[in-house]
Amino acid sequence: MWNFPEAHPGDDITAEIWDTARAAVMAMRLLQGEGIRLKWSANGVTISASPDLVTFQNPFKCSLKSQGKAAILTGLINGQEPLINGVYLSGPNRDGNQMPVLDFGDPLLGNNGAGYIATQFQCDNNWVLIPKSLTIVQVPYYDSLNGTPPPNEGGAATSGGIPGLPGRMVRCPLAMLRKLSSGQVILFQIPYFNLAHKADPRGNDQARHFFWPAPG
Amino acid sequence: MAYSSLISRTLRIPAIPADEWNALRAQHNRNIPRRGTGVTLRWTADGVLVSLEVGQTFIHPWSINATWVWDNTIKPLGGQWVASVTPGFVDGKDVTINVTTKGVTTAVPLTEDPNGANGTPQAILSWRDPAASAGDSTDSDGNLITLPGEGYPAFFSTVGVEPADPGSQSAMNPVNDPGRNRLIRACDIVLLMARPATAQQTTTILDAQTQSQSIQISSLIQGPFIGPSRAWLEAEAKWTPPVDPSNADALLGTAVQPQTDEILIATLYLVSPAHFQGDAPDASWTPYPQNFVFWNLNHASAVVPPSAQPDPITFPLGGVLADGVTAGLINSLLSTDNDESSQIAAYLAAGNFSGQYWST
Repeated sequence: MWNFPEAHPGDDITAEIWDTARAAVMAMRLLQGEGIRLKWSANGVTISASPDLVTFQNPFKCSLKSQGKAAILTGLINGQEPLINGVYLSGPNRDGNQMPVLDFGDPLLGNNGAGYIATQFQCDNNWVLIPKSLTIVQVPYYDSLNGTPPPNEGGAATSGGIPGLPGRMVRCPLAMLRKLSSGQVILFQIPYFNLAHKADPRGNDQARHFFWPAPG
Repeated sequence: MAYSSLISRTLRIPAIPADEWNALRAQHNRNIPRRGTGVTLRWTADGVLVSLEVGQTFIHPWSINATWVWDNTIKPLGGQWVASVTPGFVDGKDVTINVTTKGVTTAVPLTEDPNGANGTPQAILSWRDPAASAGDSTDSDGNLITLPGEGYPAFFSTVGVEPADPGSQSAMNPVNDPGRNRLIRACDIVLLMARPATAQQTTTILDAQTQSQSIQISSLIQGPFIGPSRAWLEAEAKWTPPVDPSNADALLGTAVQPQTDEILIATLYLVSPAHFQGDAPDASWTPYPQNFVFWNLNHASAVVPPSAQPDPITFPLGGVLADGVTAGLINSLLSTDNDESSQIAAYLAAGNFSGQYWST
């Protein structure tokens, strides 16, 4: 970095000093990088940030707001919007102004130190999603209803898909929560799109559930 | 011409009081940009580039980051290239990398606490030369030929990577460009999932000496082998996709079903400095990852493994095919003219647990 040279009374302004001063001024010119907007005026430079340009605001984007609270951007499963405590993710009037927050307190974590934020819903007799049952939960395992490790936890895969839960319930993981040794909880996003769902029934109450990016 | 030269030769600069000069200096110093929260500053020859912090930019799952790790115990290079991977998920579950510490290998999740006992899981890389010939072979006349090199993305030719070997049968002349002298190496990062497989498929001809002879096809399904975890990443110098056997292979009893479903996540290229002396990549090489998967994945087999071994199926042969040549018999069984062929195909498909990946 160039330093603007300091002067003392009686010093000559040599070409070298002038060049150094000029280079220092030139080196301080601001250049517009990613997510930043600069506007030059006679009185200075206005610096504005455009986080939206660099932060991917994907459907179901989960972010930790404070200890034990998470915000989830709105997303759709088969065109249906989940609720948190009876409020749609996009807000009470779906105007986007009052988004509900998932308040889970101390996160429920599984044996491997990880837990999930998941959508949970129930299917009807035809294995179709019941819209009013679509909600957001924080759970230690998305594939176990009572919080105990599922049979294949950490083991080999069997037939894949998301295993259903009793009562024609299913949970689709949205984010994994992991508690660090420092006590800090970090979050890993899982889906990045609105989702489509279909069940592959295996008997009266069991099914494999498939989720994939919804078209359109 | 330098601005200063112009000034010194054509202008007499009037005396500037030192206080005034220093006031300008102080004004200048007050204008020096300083990094605040969420912003990065990069000092360039043309000025200061102001950007939002990298951490706020989107980094997709499975993004590969290669780093050189210094290690004096590794001779003669004094270190090695390793790759870390931005956490990705399969069916919402963690994926692991095998990490060996003090002789003990552990499957470490990609989401592992970087400050924990295992640190950030890193894959140790091994390399192939995609520019070198794929080897020697013989042509239909029995002549020894040199196979062409695998090649690499066109981008690398623009940064001066040596041309790929065209092979001895190429109609193209070898590229002779002294400016393209950088070496290239490649390594594949692969995601594997264990899955069930049909271990044994047998075809038995019953009552072969009589007119009532029949053929019995049976399958023995084995559960998924126990891999390091549910899904894991491996670094391979050259990945070869697993191939499911054909129905004919299954009936002949020569089928070997893969016990993993695999997908190529990324290929990591290393490019040497110009005129590099040596063969092994060291710290002076530059990594270039090429990702093939950008989103988290789901995986499923089309077929759910049965809770019990499947019953064999039996077909009467009626003596027509008692030629004693098993391959001919198998071909007849699988022929579309055969009434039972669709039943046989369905039976065999029920024992094929190959799965598919899709993004979420």
